[in-house]
Amino acid sequence: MKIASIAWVTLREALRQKLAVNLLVFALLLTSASIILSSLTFGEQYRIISDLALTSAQVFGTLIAVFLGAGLVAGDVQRRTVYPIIAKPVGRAEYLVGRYLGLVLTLELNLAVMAVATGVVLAIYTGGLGFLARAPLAAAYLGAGLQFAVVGAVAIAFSSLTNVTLAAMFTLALTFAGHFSREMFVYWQHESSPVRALAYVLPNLAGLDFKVEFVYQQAVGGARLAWAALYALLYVAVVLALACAGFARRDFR
Amino acid sequence: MRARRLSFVPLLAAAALLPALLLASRVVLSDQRRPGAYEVSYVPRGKSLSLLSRPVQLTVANFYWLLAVQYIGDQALRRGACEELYPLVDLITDLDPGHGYAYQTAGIVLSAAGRIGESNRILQKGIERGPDWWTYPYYVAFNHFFYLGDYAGAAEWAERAARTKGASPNISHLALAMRVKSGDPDDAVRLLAGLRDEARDESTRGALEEQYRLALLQRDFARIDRASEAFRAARGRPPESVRELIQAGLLAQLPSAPYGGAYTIGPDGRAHSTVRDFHFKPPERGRLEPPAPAPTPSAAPIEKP
Repeated sequence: MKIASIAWVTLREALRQKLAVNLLVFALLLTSASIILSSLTFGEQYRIISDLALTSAQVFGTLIAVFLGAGLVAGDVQRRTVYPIIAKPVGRAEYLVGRYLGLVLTLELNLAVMAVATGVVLAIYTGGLGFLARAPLAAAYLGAGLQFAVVGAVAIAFSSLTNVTLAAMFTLALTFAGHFSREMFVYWQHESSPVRALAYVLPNLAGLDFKVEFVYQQAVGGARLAWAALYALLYVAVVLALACAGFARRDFR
Repeated sequence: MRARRLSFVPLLAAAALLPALLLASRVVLSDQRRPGAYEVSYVPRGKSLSLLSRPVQLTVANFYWLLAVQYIGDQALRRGACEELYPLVDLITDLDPGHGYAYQTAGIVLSAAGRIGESNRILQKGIERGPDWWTYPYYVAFNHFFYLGDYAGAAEWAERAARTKGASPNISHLALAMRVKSGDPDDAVRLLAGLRDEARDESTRGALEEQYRLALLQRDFARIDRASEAFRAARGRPPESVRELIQAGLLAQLPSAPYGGAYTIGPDGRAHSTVRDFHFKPPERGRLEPPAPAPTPSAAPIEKP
C-alpha cells in the first residue's frame, strides 16, 4: 500500500514536470512528421515511417527515463524532502521501489501514447489497420517498454547513490554501452573472466530491441518475447536489490 | 499605459527587420536550390559507422537513403555522372543489408549513367546479402547483354533470375533467346519493356525509360541498316532516304524515332537520327562507350512531318 502510494505520487509529480512533457510532445511531433519525411523517398515509405516512429519513441523515452529517474531520489535528497518520508514508518526499500514503480508507470504511459500515435500515423498511411496483422507493433513497443524499465532501474540505482548530474551521466553512459552488448560478447569472448563478466553486467538493451522486425514486418516469436521480458525483469530486480542495499547504508546526516 | 506604449517598440523593431529577414531567407533558399546542392562530399566507411551507430543503425541507414534519393534526383536533373551513388548505397546496404530497394534502384540508375561495373557490383551484393529478389540477376543480365555485349554471361544471369522465386515465366524464354540470338536489339527492347513494367516508382521507371528509348533507337538503326544493305545489293547504290527503302518494299513502315526528329541515311548507307545519333557499339568485352547525354526537350529540333 505504501509502495503504491509513493508510486502514485511519483506519477503525478512526473506528469507535472515540463521536461518529460516536452520530450513527449517532441516525440509525437517527430512521429507525425515521419509521414512527411517519407514523401522524400520512393518505394518503401513504410520503412521510413515505422523506423522513425519507433526510433523517436525509443530515444525520447530513454531520455525521459534517464533524466526523470536520475532526479527522483537524488532530487529528494538534495531538496531534503527525503527526510520526512524516511522518518515515517516507510522503509527505504519501500520508498525506492515505490519511486521506481511510479517512474515505470510514467514511462509506460508515455510509451502507450507514442504507440497509439504510431498506429494512427501508419493507419493513415496504409489506409486501414491491416498493417497490424503483418507488423509486430505490440512486440516492438513491448520491447521498448522493457528497455525503459531497465534504464529506469539503472537511473534509480544511480540516483539513490549520487547526485542528479552524476546519476544522469552514469545512466546515459551505461544505456549507450547497453546497445553494444552483442559486440562486447563477441570482442571479449577470448578475454579473461572478469572482462567477460563485464559484458553481463551491462544491460543488454540490444536484445530488447525489435525495431528490425517491426520495420521488415517479421513476426517476433512468443518464446523470444518471453525470454526478453524475463531477462528485463530479472535485471531490474537485481539492480533494484543492489540499489536498496546501497540506499539502506547511506548516511543522510 | 507607459508599459503598453513600450510593448510597441519591439513590435516596430520586428516589423522593420521583416523585409531584411525576407531578403536573407530568399538568398539562403536560392543558395540551397542551386544545382549541386545535394552533392555528397563525404561518405563514411560502412563498418565504422555500423559500429558507432548501433542503437540507431536502421535510422542512420534511412537518413543516408533519403540523401541518396535526393542525390539521384539532383544528378538526373544535371545529367551528372552519379560518382557518389555507389559509395552511398554501399554504405546504406552495409548498415541495413535488407534494404532491397537500395540495391535495385542503385543498380538501374548506375547502369543508366554508364557505370556498369558499379551497377553489377551493387546488384551482386544484393544477390549475396539482400532479400531474394529475382530482379537483381535480371538487371545484371541486362547489363551484360546491352552494355558489355557478353551474351553468354547475360544468358547465365537471366537463367539465374528465372530460377529465383517469384520470377516471371517470360524470363526463361528471354534467357533462351539470349543464348540463341546473341545480341538481337529486339531482345534488348523486350528485356527493357519487361524491366520498365516491373518498376515500382517514377525514378526507376524514368531511368529504364531512357534505356528503353536507347534500345529502340538501336533496333531501328539495325533494321534500317539491314534494309539499306539489301537495297545496295539489289541496285548497286546506297538508298537516299528511308522513304526509298519503304517504296522498295524493304522496310515495312517509317519508324517513329524515340527521341523525336527523323531517320536519315548517310552517304555511307547507314542510318542516322536528326536528334540523337548515338550508335551503340558493344565490341570488346568490358569496354563500354557510355551513351551520350540525351538532348533536353528544349534543344530538340521540331520533328519534320
